[in-house]
Order: sequence, then C-alpha cells, then structure tokens
Amino acid sequence: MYALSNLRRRSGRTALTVTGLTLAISLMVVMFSVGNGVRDSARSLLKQSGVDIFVQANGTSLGFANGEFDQSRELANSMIKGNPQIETALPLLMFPMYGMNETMRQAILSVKPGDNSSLANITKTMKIKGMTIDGVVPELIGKLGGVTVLEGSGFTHRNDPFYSNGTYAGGKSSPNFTKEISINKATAKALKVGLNDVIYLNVDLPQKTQDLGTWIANATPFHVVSIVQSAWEGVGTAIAYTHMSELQFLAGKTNDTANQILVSVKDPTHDNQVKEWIKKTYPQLDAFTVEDFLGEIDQVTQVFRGFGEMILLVTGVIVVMFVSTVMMISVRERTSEIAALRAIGFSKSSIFSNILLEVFFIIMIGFIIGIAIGVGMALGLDSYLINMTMNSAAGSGLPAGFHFVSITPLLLGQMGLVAIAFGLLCGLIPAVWAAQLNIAQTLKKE
Amino acid sequence: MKEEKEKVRSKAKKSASAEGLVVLKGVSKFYKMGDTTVTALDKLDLTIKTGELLSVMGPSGSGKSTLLNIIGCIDSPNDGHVSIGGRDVSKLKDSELTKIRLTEIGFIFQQFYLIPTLTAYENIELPMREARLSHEDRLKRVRELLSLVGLTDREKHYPNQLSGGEQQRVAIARALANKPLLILADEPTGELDTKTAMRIIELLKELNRKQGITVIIVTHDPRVANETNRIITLQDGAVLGDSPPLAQKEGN
Amino acid sequence: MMNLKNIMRRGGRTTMTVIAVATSMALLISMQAISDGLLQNARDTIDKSKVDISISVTDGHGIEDGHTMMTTLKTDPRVRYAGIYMTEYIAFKKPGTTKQMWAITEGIVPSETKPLLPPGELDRFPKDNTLGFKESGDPHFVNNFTGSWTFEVLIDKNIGSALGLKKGDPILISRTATGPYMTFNVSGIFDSQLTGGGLAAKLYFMTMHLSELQTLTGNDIFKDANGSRVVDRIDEVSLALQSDLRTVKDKVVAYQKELEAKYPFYQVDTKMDRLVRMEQQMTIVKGFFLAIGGVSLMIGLLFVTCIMFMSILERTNEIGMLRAIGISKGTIFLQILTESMIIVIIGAAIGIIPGYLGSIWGSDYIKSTVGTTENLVLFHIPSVAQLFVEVILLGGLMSLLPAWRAMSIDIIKSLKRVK
Repeated sequence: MYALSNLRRRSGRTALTVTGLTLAISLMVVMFSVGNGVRDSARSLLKQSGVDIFVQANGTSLGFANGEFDQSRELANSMIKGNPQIETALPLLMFPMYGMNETMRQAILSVKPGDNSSLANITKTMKIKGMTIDGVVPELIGKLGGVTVLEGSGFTHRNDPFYSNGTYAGGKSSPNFTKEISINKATAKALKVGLNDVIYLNVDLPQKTQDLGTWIANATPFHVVSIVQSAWEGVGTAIAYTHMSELQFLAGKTNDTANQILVSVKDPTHDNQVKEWIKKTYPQLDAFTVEDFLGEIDQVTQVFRGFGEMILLVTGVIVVMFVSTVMMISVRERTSEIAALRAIGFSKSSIFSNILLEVFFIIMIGFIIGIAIGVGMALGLDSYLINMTMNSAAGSGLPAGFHFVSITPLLLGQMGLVAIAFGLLCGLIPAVWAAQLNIAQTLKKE
Repeated sequence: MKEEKEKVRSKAKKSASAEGLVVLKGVSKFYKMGDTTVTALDKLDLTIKTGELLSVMGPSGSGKSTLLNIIGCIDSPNDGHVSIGGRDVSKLKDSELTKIRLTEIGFIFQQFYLIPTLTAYENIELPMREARLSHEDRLKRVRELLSLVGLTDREKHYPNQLSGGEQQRVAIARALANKPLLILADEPTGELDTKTAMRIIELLKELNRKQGITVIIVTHDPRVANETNRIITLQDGAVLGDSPPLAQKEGN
Repeated sequence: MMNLKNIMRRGGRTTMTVIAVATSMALLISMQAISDGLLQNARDTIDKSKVDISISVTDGHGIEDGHTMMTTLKTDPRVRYAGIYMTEYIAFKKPGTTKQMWAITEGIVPSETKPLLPPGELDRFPKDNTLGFKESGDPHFVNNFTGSWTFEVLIDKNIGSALGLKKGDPILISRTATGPYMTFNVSGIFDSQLTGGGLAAKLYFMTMHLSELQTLTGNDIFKDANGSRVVDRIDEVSLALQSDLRTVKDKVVAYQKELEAKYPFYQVDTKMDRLVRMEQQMTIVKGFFLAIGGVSLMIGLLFVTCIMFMSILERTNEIGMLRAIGISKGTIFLQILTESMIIVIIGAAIGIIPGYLGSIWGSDYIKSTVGTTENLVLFHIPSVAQLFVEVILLGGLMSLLPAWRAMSIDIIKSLKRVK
C-alpha cells in the first residue's frame, strides 16, 4: 500500500522511469526474439520434412550442399541394407534449369525465319523461367513427409525407369525417358501452366532472340503430372520434380550423381548413432542430423546474437543506472518520513521490503508495457524482413512457415528473469540504505 | 472510556517496576563531531510514573530531543540504564526496540510526518498493519480513534486536504493505534497557531486523564508546559529543575 | 558558473547521469561506425571494380557459348576487356591422403581477368606471370575442348596451410567426392582475405583455366544418344570499357541498353546498378543499427530529463525566491536548460572515445566470427561530429520540458511549500 502510493506521489517521474524501462524491455524483446525465429522455423520445417539425417559429400557443410558424389543409388541402397535403423534413403540431385510453355513455343515457331523483331516482341510478354529441379525417385519421396499433392495423380512411373540397369541407354529418345514433371504453384504461376500442360526445359538460356529456335530444338518437353507443395519451399520460389536419372542425363551427370541423400530413421532417438555409422561406413560422405543443421544455423546467427547480447548489456547498464539513481533520490527525499515510520515501529525489514516493492512495481509496469510494445515491434520487423527477402531476388523467398522472430514462453520467461535482475540491481541499494537510516540523526536534522 | 483507562493502567501496573514506568539511571549520551565530543546527556537520572503528564523544557542543545529519543527507544545511551515498563532497554537489539516502539510507545512529531499519499484512515491504520492486526480489528480501531480525535468525517481526506491542527490530530490517532503505554510528543504544537495548539494540548490532556496514558511533551512554549503536571527543565544534558508548573505550585 | 555549481551540488547523481549519456552515446557511435564501415566496404568493392558492365543470369548457370561471346564482344571497339567466368564447387585432396575438401573454384581466362582486377585485389594474387599462371590464354578450349591441358591451379593460403602445399606441389582435383581425381599443379597461392576460422572456416577457394573447369564439371559438351554439341557454359561476362567511355554515364547506359536488347534473356548491370542495389540493402542494415543505438540514447536522455525534474522539485523554494527577488522567467528557463545541456554535452563528449573503442571491438568480433581479415569499421570524424550535434539537439529538445516547468513555478506556492 505504501509502496504503490509512493509511485502515485511523483507520477511524472514514475512515468519517465517507466518509459525508459519500456524502451529497454521492448528492445530486449526484439533482440531476443529475432534469431530465435530462424531456429524455431527451421526446426518446425525440418520436422515436417520427415528427414532425420542429411547425407552429403564429405568436407561440405549444410550451407554448401553443392558438393556431388556418384553412384548415389548404390550408396542409398547399401545404407538401407546395412543399417536396420534406416527406414528410407532418398538420393536427390538439385539442378537449375529453364522452362518455356507451349504458348510461347508456338508463338516463336510461327515467326518467319529472320524476323527478329517479332521474336523480340514475343519475349517482352512471355518469359523463359528459371527453376530449381529436384531429381528424385518418386516412390521414395512419397515416404518422406512435407510434399503435398494439390492436383493430379503424380508420376505414373514411380521407380525411375530411365535408370534401368544403371545405364542411361537411349538418351531422351528412350521409351523409358518418361518426361514427367511435378511443379509447384510458383512454377505454374510463373510459366502460366497447369496440370497436363507441357513445359520445355533446357539447362541454359538462349543467348540471343535469334537463338530461340535452336533453344527450342534442344529443349526437352516435360508434361505436368501434378501440382505439389512442400513445406520448405520459399514463397514464390519455382521448384519442380523430375525422375532423377532424367535430370542427371540433361545435366550431364550420368554417373548417378547426387548432392544429397535424405535419410529417415525408424526411431528418431537413434539418429546420432545412425549418423556416426554412415560417416564411418562411407568415408566419402558426411552426415548431419537436424540438430547439426540447427547448430549450423546457430553459428550463422551467432554473429547477430553476440552483438545483440552486447547491446542489451549496455542498455541494461544504462537502465539500471537510471532507475537506481531515481530510486535513490526518491528515498533520500523521504528520509524524515522513513525515519518517522521507523520511530512509530516499522521494522528495518518492512522499510526494506517496501522500497524494494516500489522498485518492483515500476519494473513490472515497464515490463508489461515493454513486452507489449516489443512483441509488436518484433512482429513488425519479422514481416518487414520476410518482405525484404521476397523482393530481393526475382521470385524467391523464404518458406511459408518461416519467421525470423519467435515469441515463445521461454522468451517471456527470459524477460521475467531480466525484470527480476533489474529489480534487485536497482532496488537493493536504496532499500538497504533506507532500512539502515539512523532514526535519531535523521529526525534531528529536521 | 473508564474501561479503557483501567485496561491501560493494569497493563502498566503489570509491566511497570516499583519505581516507575520509565526509569533512567546515570544515562549519558555523547556525539563525536569531528575532533570534538558533544555531550547531549550527562549522567541523567529521571523517573516517570504511569499516568503522568509531563513536559520537558530547556534551551536549544540542552538534550531535550535526545532524552525523548532515548526514552522512545530510537537511540541508545552510551552509559547508564533505561527501563521502560520494568524492562531494561539499554542493551536491546534493534528488532526488539522496534517492537517496543510499535506496541508500547506512540510518537508525535512537530512536522506531523503523515504519509502524503495515504488518507487519514490509512495513516492511522499504518502501525496496525505493521502489527499484523486483522482487517476487522483495524477497521474498528481506526474508526474509534477518528472519533476520539474528532475527525470521523475526514477519514478519506489526504494530509494536504487537512489543516495543520487536523493533521496533528491524525498523527495523535496514529500514535494511539496499538494502544501504547506512553506517548512522546516532540514539539507537537511547533507548527500550529495558538488556538489550534491549545486544542491539541487539550486532547493530549484528555487522553492522559481519561485513558491513563503517560504523556511526555518536549516544548519551548511555557504555555504548553504549564498545561502539564510536571515540568522537567534540562540544561547541558542534565536536569536543572523538576517541579510542577508555577500555577499549580502557587495553587498548592 | 552558477549552472556548474548547481550541477555539482549533487555530484553523485550528476555523475551517474553523465555516465548514462556517455554510455548510450558510445553505443550509438559504435553502431554508426560499424554500419558505415560495412557500407563503405561494400561501396569500395564496387567503386574500385574495373568492371563497367556485367552480364549474368539470375539463377546461376545458364550462359552458353561463353568463349564465343567473349570473342564477339571484344570485337566491339567500346570494349577493352571481356572476362568470362564460371564458379563451381570442386573436391580436392593432397596426393596420398583420403580426406577430401571442397573449394569454390573459379574458372577464368587469365589474360582477360587480370586487367579487370582492381589494384587491391590484384595484390592478393601471385605477381609472376599472369596471376601466377604460366599460360595466360585458355588452350584447352581449342578445337571444341580438345586442346592441351595446362593442369595449372591457384589455391588460397588456407588450402596451402591446411594441406601443407606450396607452389609447384601436386594437388588432386575432382568433380565429385568419389573421383576420378586429376592431378594439377599448384602454380601459385593467393590471399582469399579469410582467416580460415569463424563462419568461413570451411570456405576454400581455387582458380583455374575456364575450359579445364568446364570439362571437369561437364559444362563443356553435352552428349546425347543423337550426338553431342558444345555448350561452353559460363556464369558471367565482365566488361571493362575503353577509358574515354567508362566515365561518361550516358554512354555506359546506352551501351547497357544495346546489350540488353542483344541478350534479352540475360541480366545486364552497370556499376551504378550494382551500387544502387547494394546501397539500398545496406541502408536498411544501417537503419537497423542506428535504431538500436537510438533507443539507448533515448533512455539516456530520459534519464537526464527525469533528474532535471527532480532537481527542480528540490529547488522549488530556491526558484520561487529567485523569482520573488526579480529574476525573470526567461532567465530561469535558460538556467535550467543550460544545466541540462551541460550534462548532455559532457556525457556525449565523454562517450566518443568509448564509442571508438566499441566500434573496434565490434569490428573485431564480426571479423573473428565471420572469419574475414577485412577492416569493417569506419570511424569518420565528420559523421561523429554530426551525430554529436544531433544528440545535443535532441538533448536540448528533451530539456525544454523541465526548463518550462521551472519557469512556471508559482512564487507564492513555492515559498509556502513544505517538503
């Protein structure tokens, strides 16, 4: 009662102090929550993918998954055979290619030879679109989570028939070269294609408009068998899936080359064991669990986190100086009042706890308002950063569930501890000082 | 009221020594100010009986406030013994002295020292909360005391909404909160005009008369001293005079 | 004089306030210095570049007939040099060992690349021959990639120290982890400006002849059942224009438009485009840094305002008395404002050196965490001076309220006032 009433006594100064605290707490909320989001989003997306272990060429890190290795299917099959814990091992080749739709192709082919200006006009309104192709074995990708079929029935041939007997016999003309493709919504939108439409794919872009004819002649037509969505694809990022051997062939990687093998284990508590087994058994490969992945993300965000911690420490010091000085002055103004309370029978501990309570009240008000503002600012920053990455490269962005910022009970708990630490640091000295006042001398001075 | 007086007296009787409620023997208090030692009280002996109404006078620096502080357990003597209600308080710990101040002694100050952000009710209630009285007991007691000091209609007023006299009455009510044996008033009328001052003294006299509470008033004002039954005059930390007021003497 | 005395009257609280302002100023200066440093770094990289126009594709690979394109562009009298590049991720290891590592490998035509390197970057490469290469052309490209191999490769110093390799030593290189490996010779060692630690710990760099990299990675010829064709795939073309042309912005932009029309599927950027894009991004980063510093500064200045209010309260009688004896409101106002400003100015001034030290610490921290050797801080005196003035002005603004409060004190009430 006494503590709270004292806050009202000097409401202006209380307001200023609370404002200072609010600024500090909201800054802390923003700094703590940014970076947490990256980790939490990554964890959630990885969980949805169903992948427990990422296998890559030895010496690469997850940030650079471009290292390649050959005989990927043989490796994947031997993993499944060699370790009963392994449920699925999906080799994957990611490779960028360019696509054109049928409308554009027809328009180009209908132009008279040598009529470059007509060709140029066509390219102004119709585009060849770049996309990332994931070469997969369809039956295996179905076993992992995270890919949802939105339209269509998917690949008719599920076991990658072009790779029969480990050869790529017959090239594009082979009857086993299915030319099936599954695309995501961003690809469908960019190319203005839908289910059962044809996309013409090439590894490169034409150099000049007059090369379009040659480009088309060299392109491989793929027909769209399904429209899919995966949890980890960037919003607006064009992705497509083909049979792995067909992509390998077009990319000139006909030693069954892959960038990664995605592994799921039967019992997730054994993933470290399986990881170590893979590393030991296949020295040309390296394996990373989800935790390793998150650890790499942490390494990257470490730069920001370290900075953030230093900034917060400095801000915290300023705030503690602010609040403790104001409290000290406030207590000194009231020495005679405090001495009178001691004279009428208030114990030292009562005085001590009342002063400390006053400080805690101020901290709590600042904390509540600061959290509210900080959460608002953090969410605003999140949306800003997501928009920025959306607009930074043509059409690419982060996965839909991805956030830079994460507000969790843990964060609020951390802020609570900060508030308590502030309270103690700011309140202890004035409280002790007030409790130790010499009653007689103080009253004598009056 | 008579019941109240009897309760206080029996409490005082039980705890008072044969000699008196407050007994000071050979009490000395000095302060170091740089290289100089200032003697505030010099081997002072004093006995105060239960139910007395006395004043302490003397020039500035005579030791009046120091005496009050020692009796009030705010300060401890350097030498000598002090007993309150038969108990030697000279060497008690701070927490024990605090308890005595809370339950057995009531303080009234020249500057009132009311908490400006608490109402009259809340100011009076403050010591009762410290003494952990229940809400119902506090409510009853505060209302009683407000009635006693004539401020029932001012319960919800803040100190800055009360006149000087009213503030001091609230302070008196606060001092009575936990039914003390002894009231110590340090220049209680110093900030008040004459008429109001006299009203306050009348109130203190009434408390002494009707409830048997021992009242010690430190004052510069001879008119205030003359209202009491005994005037102790201090000089240089020692008792210079100890007698009834002149009017009473002459009357006798 | 009176102002100073008043401030020193409560030395403890004044000291705390000054320290708080100094601390927040130091933080703000550090943030500014680091963000300015990052911006300047990025700007310098582009500014010093000798590449006036770059032609690339947004998704990485995708330019065919790279060598032909280089030759064609060089026939244009406006073009001085045309460098062509490809970047691939390549496995390497020391002969006789099994542990392979990976390097970001750039394929270049040395004679076209060397003139395009700015002086600072040129110094990082060996000075003998053409960037350390004995062969300055790209002989393997001749006759549809049947020409002779040089087997020359430049490695960065981190590879050198990791594998204990020096100039002239053999190194095994392959497209995949499993091989087959080809033996190349280390023609030279260059400085990648990475320490080999921090985030960049696993980043290694190599440079080799473009056609050899193309063949190594299957970007030379596409083989089908129906035959084969030369693809000669590259990632980027960098053009340096003639010296009389490159400084005339309109001419550069006109040439850019010509190239865009000629190569409509590629991205054609001038140096200015790259600079504008970079500055847009860095401005956001700088804004973020300064916002953080700004919040701390606000807290520090709020502290000053609060303390000034408390000080006025304590001196209410004194101020009332001054007014009573004839001191004007304006004088009181200026008095309080000056006191407040003195605290802000002293605090801000004291904060400059810690700010400088803080920016050094911040830069060292980023360098060690990222693993770069480049200097990342720009402690620019004019910028600091500007910031100082801005802080003083803001401090002044926040001091207006207490000064106004002091000026508005009612004389009678203040003289009657009991604490």
